[in-house]
Amino acid sequence: MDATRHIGLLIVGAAGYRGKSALEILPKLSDEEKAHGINLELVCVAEARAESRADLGGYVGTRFGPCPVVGTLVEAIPYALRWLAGGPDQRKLIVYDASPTAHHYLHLMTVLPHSERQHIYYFGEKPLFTKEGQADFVAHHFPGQVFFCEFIETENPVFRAANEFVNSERFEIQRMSFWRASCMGVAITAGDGRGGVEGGALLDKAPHDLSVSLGLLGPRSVQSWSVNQARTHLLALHEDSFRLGTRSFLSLARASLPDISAPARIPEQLPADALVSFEVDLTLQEHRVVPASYIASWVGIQNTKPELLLSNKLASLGIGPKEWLNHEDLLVSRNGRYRYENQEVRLGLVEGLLHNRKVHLVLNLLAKFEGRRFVHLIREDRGREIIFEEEDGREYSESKEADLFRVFHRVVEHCAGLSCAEYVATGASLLVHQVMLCAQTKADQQFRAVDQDEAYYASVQAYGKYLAPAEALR
Amino acid sequence: MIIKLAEPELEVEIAPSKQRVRPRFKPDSHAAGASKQDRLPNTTSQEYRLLYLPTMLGVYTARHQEMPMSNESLRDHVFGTVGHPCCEACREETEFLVAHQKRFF
Repeated sequence: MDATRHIGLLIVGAAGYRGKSALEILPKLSDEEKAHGINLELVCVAEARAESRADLGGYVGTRFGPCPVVGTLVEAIPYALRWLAGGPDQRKLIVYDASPTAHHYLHLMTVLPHSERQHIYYFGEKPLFTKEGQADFVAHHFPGQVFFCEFIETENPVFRAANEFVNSERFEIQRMSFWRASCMGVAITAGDGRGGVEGGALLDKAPHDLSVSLGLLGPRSVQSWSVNQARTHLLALHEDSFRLGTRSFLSLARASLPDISAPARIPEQLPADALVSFEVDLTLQEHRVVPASYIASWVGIQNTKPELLLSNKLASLGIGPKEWLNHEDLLVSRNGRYRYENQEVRLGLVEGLLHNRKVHLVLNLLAKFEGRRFVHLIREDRGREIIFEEEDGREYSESKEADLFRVFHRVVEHCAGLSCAEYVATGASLLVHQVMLCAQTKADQQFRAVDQDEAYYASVQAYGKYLAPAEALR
Repeated sequence: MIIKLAEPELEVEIAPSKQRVRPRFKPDSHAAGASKQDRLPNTTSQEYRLLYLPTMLGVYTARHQEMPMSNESLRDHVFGTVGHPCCEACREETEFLVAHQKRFF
């Protein structure tokens, strides 16, 4: 990529959760880039909610000087083009998309036609694509165009430490298992979910685990891949299930679906998954195949077969749940109707050969409420070696902000022509989404034959582990 | 195609689809017969420019795997014309996504 010293930033969804985080880190990021000879400038912010725009204007004006505040990306593009044409040296502009999931592909398609000639580059929150056709279209019609997906976990110090170990010690990865459990589905049902989060556990959680696992192999090392198996174990529920006591699944677009027996007319009306597992064969050079398995959950831990297999494997290596399970005390929903618990896991188990000996690397990528992030090496005799362990005392939000800062830094340096952000740029972004969406298609096919009443009952039981009406617990 | 931006001098040209064929209308993807022009939003409105156009482009490209030849052909495909029925699947998905986006406004 051509070098430049002038990088502009346009933030879409600037008053939302992630948009605010981006504005928070911007002064520090700007200082950091200045030290590398790059002038980073906030060019424009877009926020769809009219009532938030006045506050946003005041906020950015105070912190960054005059900056246009508009409603949509389409309205912001003229400001971007004007800024790009405003100086004697070449300028480049990054569009950071912190808008809700449903808008990401539409925004990417708005930016991509400008990328090559006008040097505007898209950098969006995951997932960028929610349908196979979207990723396929971009792969075939915009080959080589630069865009980025915010795979923030590739800046997690656990991934960085494990990756450095794998490369420096010539660790040969033979098998990988990743497990991400959250209670996002439970929070949504209780009325507490973040507004833009939708799509189910797979689309919301799996991109990060895929980005980390593919990052460990090196995204460019993967020659081909196939999804062997994908299974939806549980479907997500709409709040009506608990508020009205009627059967109501959650759609990918977060609407109520009382009946899922008829085929969905549009993809957004498909039911969202609450717990899904899938297995992928990743083929590297010289036809070496690395099997990788993934579990993604919006309903915490449910003791399904894949979860039990992995937790038993960890136990056999001497690693108990206390080391990887995050548990938050009972919460009362903002509407006062529910009490719910939150259990979270983000874990990777990597099996391989180190100097011709079979060993395991355990990656604990999450320390949200307790514990610490670490990478431990487990030898054949179960002896442990600490590869990385985070110091105590860092709040989760601080860790997240630090990781966001670093991923922004990589994208800016990539656009400036200083280095390659290989874990978040086009190739990795497409690969992660293509694998994930193929798994989604496979899981959907398998789920069509399921009895909806049985599926609903299973989901009610699963949610009931974490969620109860407030009065039931008094 | 031409993406119309806020200021005419900033219009950006997009290379049209290499397949210079009219978008195909599959028999099962549209309601036979009547056009859905009665549902056509006001094409001179801000809502059409800011919401419908990007949404139609996103829906069309993912579904048909090609770039539309122009904004007008895209509109005709999604909403139909007097002589040609709309692509029901694209129209339905467009209407849904526009309504979905409005929830965030």
